[in-house]
Amino acid sequence: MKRRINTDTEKCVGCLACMTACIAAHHDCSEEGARSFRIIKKTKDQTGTFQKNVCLSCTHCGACISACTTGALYRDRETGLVLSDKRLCVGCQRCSLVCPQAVIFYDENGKIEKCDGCVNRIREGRTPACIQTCYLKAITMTTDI
Amino acid sequence: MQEIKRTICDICASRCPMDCYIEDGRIVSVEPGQKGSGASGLCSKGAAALQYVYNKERLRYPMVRTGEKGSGRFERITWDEAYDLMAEKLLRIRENHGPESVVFYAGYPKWYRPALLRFANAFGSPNFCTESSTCFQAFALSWALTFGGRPAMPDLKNCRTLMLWSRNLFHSDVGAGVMLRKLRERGGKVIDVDPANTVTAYESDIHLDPLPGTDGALALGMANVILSEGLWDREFVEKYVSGFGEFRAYAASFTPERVEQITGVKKELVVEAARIYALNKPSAIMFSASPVVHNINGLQNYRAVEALIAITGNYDVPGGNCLRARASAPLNEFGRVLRLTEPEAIGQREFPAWFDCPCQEAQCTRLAQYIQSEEPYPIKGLFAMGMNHRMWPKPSHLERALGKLDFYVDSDLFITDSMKTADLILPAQSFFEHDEIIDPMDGRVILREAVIPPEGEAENDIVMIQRLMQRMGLSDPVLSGSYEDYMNQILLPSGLQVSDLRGHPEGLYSEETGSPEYRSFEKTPFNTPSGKIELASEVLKRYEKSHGYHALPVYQDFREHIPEACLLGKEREAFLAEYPLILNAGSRRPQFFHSRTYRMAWLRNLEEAALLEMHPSDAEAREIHDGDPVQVVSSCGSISAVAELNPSCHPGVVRFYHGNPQADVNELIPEEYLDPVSGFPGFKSWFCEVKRYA
Repeated sequence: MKRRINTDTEKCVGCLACMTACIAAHHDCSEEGARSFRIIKKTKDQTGTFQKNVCLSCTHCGACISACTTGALYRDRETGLVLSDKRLCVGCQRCSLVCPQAVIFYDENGKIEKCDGCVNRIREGRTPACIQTCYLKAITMTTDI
Repeated sequence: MQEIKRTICDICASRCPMDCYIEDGRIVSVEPGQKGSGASGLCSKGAAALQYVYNKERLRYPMVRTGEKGSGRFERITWDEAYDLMAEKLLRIRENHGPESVVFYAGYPKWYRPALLRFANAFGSPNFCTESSTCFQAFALSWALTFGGRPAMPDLKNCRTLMLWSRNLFHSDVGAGVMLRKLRERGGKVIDVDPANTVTAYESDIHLDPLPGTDGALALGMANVILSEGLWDREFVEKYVSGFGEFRAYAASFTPERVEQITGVKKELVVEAARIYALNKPSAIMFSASPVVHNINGLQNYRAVEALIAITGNYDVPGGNCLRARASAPLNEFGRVLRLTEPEAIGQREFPAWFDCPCQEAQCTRLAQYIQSEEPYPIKGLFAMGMNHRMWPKPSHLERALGKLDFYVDSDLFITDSMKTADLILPAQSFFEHDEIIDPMDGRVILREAVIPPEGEAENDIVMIQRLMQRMGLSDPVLSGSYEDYMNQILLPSGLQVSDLRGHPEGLYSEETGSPEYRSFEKTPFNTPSGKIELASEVLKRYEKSHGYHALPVYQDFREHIPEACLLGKEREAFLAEYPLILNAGSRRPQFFHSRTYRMAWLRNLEEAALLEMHPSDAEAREIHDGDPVQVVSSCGSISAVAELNPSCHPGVVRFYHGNPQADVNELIPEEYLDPVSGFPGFKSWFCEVKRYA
């Protein structure tokens, strides 16, 4: 099973709600330096007279898994999400070279951090925080068997 | 064990339903609740709510000043000591200088305002003031002058055309963006008026992009199209509108060509938008609290926009701008408590129309000057709830003036910069921590119950007022009982009681709610001197000679009417050449709400907080690149910022969000830059230059 998380950049207006929902889902509120696993990207329309922010995240495509030589990145069988295991990460950063969305981060020790698709929430039967929070339904989750 | 409790978010004013996951009396996470019509979500501020309620800057105990005034040194005292101190100091000031020498001030949130007004009344002071001295009230006044009542809201369900006039819905109330998309899906036309090509403008059928502050010329130009092409509603105008002839003659000079010259909006678009608004009826206009009225001709500019409703007969008809398109449950208190009219209040001499169409508060836009000059009389005390000096132009001047007061007490959720000069600071409860009656304006009444115990010794604002009044020996017919008694007093006309509402977080419908109503004007005359809609205002006419007001919504271009005091002795042309860019302060960014969310690191760090948005052409002319550190300079100050090149910006206009303690843009705006009718500062269109740091 493969799970995907997609953001419709037409529907997204850059309200940034998913950004803080992501932080809140993964961190205690005392962690001031905590960052989102989603990123803000500026996009322009064809005329070049309009610019907006859109928020993107890992789509769980799995490109990083094949780049990882230590097994620190893997697709979780139960949920179909691309997850990371810090203990196996050696910090070579090959994964970020292949990531099409540039949404792989590293902690202060150079170990991988990425969107986990709110795997804990999914196990509890809840929706990932970004999807739940988006008023405009710009973020969706799909599953291919 | 986790428990889910429902609440309604009040971090900004959009009021999104929110589910709180509670563990051991603490909120551990928040989720969107269900809004009407199936929409569900939160904004970036609501999603970060835990950083709001558990912020390290929360004030948890009453504290008294120990160091010099302004030193910011305080020490913890008991509530008992705090009440004693306030009673003694405030009563002594009243004895020595009279009750009017104490100002009672309400910042944000707004729920305790009627109780604070009752306190001011019992004390004997006419000086009940609020943050509405620079927000919303000028719009309400423009409406009251023209229609004699409170603003009529767009009937979104039934309109065929919606004109958003300066409201970037997706960034100020993203939940309302759902409504906008639905409206377009059902074939509704959207006209968006906004200087910037915002995400809201981008999703509209027509985008009109006037320079900030030129809205009046645009509206008069649209009126001229409607009148000269015979698209106006003759029957409605004949029966219900006064001053029409004068208005028509005045608007006639605003040809599409001239409007394009003044506003920058293409003349073809002016014509097209006017035709759609007048012909694709019913049409509604959605206003906003402040952007248009934050201009020195702002009140008249909004009156010109409102005139479009009158001449097309889109007033209080299904799909137009309506008074009771959605029935509300009747409740006491808000709008029903009257301010003392004697002695004279602050602001009354300069801004008489504000008091002739009484909004039950004084106008404190010049508070710093009143304190410093002791004119019209000395102000010696300030009882404030949520004081924020950053909402005034040149905030450092007010901060200095506050330091001169004999006694200044302020309550707030957080230890704020405005508290530095206070004598006593009091911890307030957030909406998560107290019960409150909420009016969702749809016939329901909600008791929003506390979901967690208060942080530290934080207190309910109204309970603070009740206890202090008791300590001072002041009485009021409805505040003398318990807080629950007071909530029941609010509920009285609805036929509901607090005990009925407990355990019903979704609220209950009041049986006293009437059905939706239209065409109120057929039964009740307009509450204006003439009893009609006044395109030529009789109230403003009273002050033609004394204050230079105009009865018609006359367009006076801010670039041509800069007050002498703001020019600092310079010739106007030289001044405009020195500061060629228009400074637009405070246009909404989604992660901020005035000054209160800068202290939430998750929000502050999302993007550069001190972001100066500018058009690439303006940047290029100054050799500024995206991300460059820049200095924004005006005639009265400068701030450091980071440039963001954004083609959505209006060329010639730079945008910067207000309330930032690291870079307070209001410091760049002089105190004298005010609308002479409303007293509102021209925050959305002042003058500046931007320089790249070498």
